[in-house]
Amino acid sequence: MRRHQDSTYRVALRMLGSKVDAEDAAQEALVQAWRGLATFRGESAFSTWLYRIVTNRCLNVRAARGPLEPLPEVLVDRGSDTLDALERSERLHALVRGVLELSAGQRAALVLREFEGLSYEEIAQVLGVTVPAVKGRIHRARLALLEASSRWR
Amino acid sequence: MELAALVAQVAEGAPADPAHQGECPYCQAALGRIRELWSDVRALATFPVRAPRGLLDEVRARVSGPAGAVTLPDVTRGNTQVSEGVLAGVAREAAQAVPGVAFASVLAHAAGPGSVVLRVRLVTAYGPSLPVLAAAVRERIVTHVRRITGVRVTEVDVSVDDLATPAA
Repeated sequence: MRRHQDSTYRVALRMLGSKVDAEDAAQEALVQAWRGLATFRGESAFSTWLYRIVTNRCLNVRAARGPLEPLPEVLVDRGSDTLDALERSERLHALVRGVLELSAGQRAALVLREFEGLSYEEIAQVLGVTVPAVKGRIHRARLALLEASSRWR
Repeated sequence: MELAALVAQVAEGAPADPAHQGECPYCQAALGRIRELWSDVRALATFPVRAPRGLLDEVRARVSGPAGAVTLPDVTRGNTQVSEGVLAGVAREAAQAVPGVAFASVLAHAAGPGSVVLRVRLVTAYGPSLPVLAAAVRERIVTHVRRITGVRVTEVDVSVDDLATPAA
């Protein structure tokens, strides 16, 4: 369980933007997974199953709450205060916002692909959709991010 | 070239068309933007994110049954519960029976139906290999707890806290 808590929290953070919400969602997901361990039959990898639980939870939070406002997250290396580093930090914050502005389905697919490194097949299992659907969502998400990035400059 | 194809090129390593892209200012500008965005995505992806301290402890606390006990699954005419204290006691006895272990102290946390996680602290004799000893302790604990209580140990953290000095 220990090594899964980081990835569970990380997904929630990228999906919801707020550390407090991410902590709640991750906690709920881990509790649900732990309780359900007795019934987990191993038809998928455990990590895939856990990803599915936390992703669904985040999608539900999002559906209940509407658009999300991210709280500031420290995204710069400590001790690096060059102009480049600060610019990079601003761009990363803008990227985080861009990810949060994506539609829920696109955001989930993109987060699982780009930030968790899952394969298309795994993402399809986590989201309960087909592989072509996953590819389509990721593709549209990337274009949306690109379009948003041109607005930040 | 279409923007979509350029994005696929940078993000997925799809085949490029260097002849055209070498010449086309639109493609070069677009590729520049895409590459910058993608390096930001990579930076964000590799940024270390750790779960907050205490997350797992809170999960464990919530998963524990009432009065810190493990409920044995599947009973037709009523539940059987084994308290964390008893589980810790059984594990302690098992650990202390391993040659080379002077004292053991165990904390048990219920972890879902029929299962428990344990934290074991050992005082051991000087001489035996500690990793081998820890493995033997772990093995024995899992077997004995299962046999005596019917509860499955899903995780055993072992820490060797001290060495027992021989009597002078």
